[in-house]
Amino acid sequence: MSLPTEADGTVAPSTDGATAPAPPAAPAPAGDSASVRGLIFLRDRGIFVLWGLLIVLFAIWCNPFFFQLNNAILIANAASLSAIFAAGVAVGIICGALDLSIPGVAALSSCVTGYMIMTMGLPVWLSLLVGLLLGAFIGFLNGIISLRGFNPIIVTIGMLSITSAAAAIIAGGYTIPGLNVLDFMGTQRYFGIPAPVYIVAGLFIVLTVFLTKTRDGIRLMAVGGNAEAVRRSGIHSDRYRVLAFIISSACAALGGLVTTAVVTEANPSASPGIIFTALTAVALAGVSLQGGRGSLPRVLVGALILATISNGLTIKGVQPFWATGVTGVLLLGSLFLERWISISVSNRLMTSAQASVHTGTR
Amino acid sequence: MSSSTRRMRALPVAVVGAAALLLAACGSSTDPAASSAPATSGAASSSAPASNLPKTLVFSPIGLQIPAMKGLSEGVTGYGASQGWEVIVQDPALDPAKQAQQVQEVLESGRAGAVWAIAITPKSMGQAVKTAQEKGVPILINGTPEEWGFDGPQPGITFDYIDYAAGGTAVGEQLGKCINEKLGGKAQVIYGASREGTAGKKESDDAFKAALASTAPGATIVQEWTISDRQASQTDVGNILQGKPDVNAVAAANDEGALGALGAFKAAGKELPCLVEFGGNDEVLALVKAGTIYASVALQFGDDMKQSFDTLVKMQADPTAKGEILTVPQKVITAAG
Repeated sequence: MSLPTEADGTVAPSTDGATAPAPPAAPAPAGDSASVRGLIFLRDRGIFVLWGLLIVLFAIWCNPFFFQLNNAILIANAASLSAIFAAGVAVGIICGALDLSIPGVAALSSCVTGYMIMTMGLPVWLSLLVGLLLGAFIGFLNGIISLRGFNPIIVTIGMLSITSAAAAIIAGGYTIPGLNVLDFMGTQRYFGIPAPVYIVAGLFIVLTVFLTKTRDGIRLMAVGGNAEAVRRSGIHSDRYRVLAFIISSACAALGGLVTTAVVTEANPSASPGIIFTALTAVALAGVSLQGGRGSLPRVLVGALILATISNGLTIKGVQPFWATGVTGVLLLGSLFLERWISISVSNRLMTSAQASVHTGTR
Repeated sequence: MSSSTRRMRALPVAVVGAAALLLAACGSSTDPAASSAPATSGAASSSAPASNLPKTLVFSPIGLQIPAMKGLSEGVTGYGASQGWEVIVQDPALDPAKQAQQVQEVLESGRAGAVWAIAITPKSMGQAVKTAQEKGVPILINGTPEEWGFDGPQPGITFDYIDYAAGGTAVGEQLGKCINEKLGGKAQVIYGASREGTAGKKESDDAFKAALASTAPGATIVQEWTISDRQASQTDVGNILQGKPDVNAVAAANDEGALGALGAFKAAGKELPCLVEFGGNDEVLALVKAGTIYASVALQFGDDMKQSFDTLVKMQADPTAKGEILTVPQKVITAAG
């Protein structure tokens, strides 16, 4: 982040006595910069603090059942599915491409894989690979169609209908049960940790490294921030937009396959709840819906927060609709907090800058 | 001009062409009965002899994306064909307004000889039911007369409902029986209830609790969860087991809840000696047969389909006569049969 450095009055003191008027005695800006740093810390790391507070709260309230390793694994496992979908949604939003076809893609990949395993008797690895590639291909189609000037939201809603229908046609309108061969990536535990947790860890590491450490990833984020500026700098922005759709749909397919593995059943109905849960995690993580800004680790924490609330309230025996309400309150709270922090930081920096210009104190 | 631009210009032409073809197809496939049906007033139609009604049943389920509805629609189509009837299956896709509109349209067109509607929300179907009565088309609707605002049987209308209270009682009794047999009469029970607003929830929940209390007084319901889908139930029951590790009996108000609970116990490496549920889909019945689930109070939709269809055929002979009040048959299935 460059902002804290800019906000740090100690970095670049105005010492040019030849051009600046003699500085009158003015209050030191150290207090201001500390508060700005604090606010920025709250904006960037606030979600981690919030999660920590929730853990402490539930650890006390649900003592002794909450603060246990086994429960931590349960929370991680419960967060896994929404985290996979949230990763797809986040990458899309960061690049300025909200993909609403995610539930349909998940259902279609799930049913195609289930059909290949149960009806055609094909090898599991091949069926999974086809399911994933199918998801990526649908993302490619979404991207290509959107580039023709059509609104991505409408395009992906259309694709949601197409993929949902295709899933129902393939499955004949019924679920495909008995997919116990997928246990290895569903309920199976390795070193005591369920398989979906490993899958999520791998996915987030790969995507985070890609977005922050590779040239293509950084360009992809830049496209979301200002596609025109990127294009004028000679970068093929369309390519990155399509890539975002591909990643988003591939994540949806992966989420669908992991869900299938967990319940050992491929379900052709595309649950719209998937997209709302994923969007909630993404919004909690402070990913800008305008694109260009966001952090995948924070998205993961967003999904973990949702799972933690649900887990804690369930352990305590509180009715589940309270969890939904609490999540909504947190979401709105985080939006207000972010807005307040942004305005506060901006005002304080402006004040500091004006003080610098008029008094030469900075 | 680029090829993509040419394709873009060709697109509207293709759309118009496709629409024209579709209209032509609809026109050519119009049933003679429908095309010859006069646009008469309700009074004129209702006075028509019953034999003038076509042997066409319109089946309007809540949505074909639900496997049970899909299966039922196929059953109705097959059974209707075997009885010499044509069956038109509609798909309102869980949209009450769409369902009311579809049923209204088919009634107005004169195409329907009988209607079987599983209403998403009864209130939205009120006008369609009234139209069916006016046009003398027998209609079978789900629910009780009271739920539809009537005080008893009505001319031209048959009511068919799931007796949730009986189902809840059977689930409670079977779970109590299992607790007495396998757990010495004492157990910690969790109960998966239907979502708020679901039909028959209160009746089912209350009946289950009363029956369990009387059959196995030593059993305690330590927690409830709300069933949304299988995966969510698996997560919820996993969380419950974390806080209440001694749970050893489960009842669920539907198949998804029971299967989710089973998955959670399996993931936690725990035994579940007593699991009883309401529904009875194929996967559940296989698990009952294998002894994994103690009992299922299974809705006999096949039998209900036949009784409903036969009732509608009977009503067509005299659509002005008061219809029957049917219940969906239920059967307790255990490993013993």
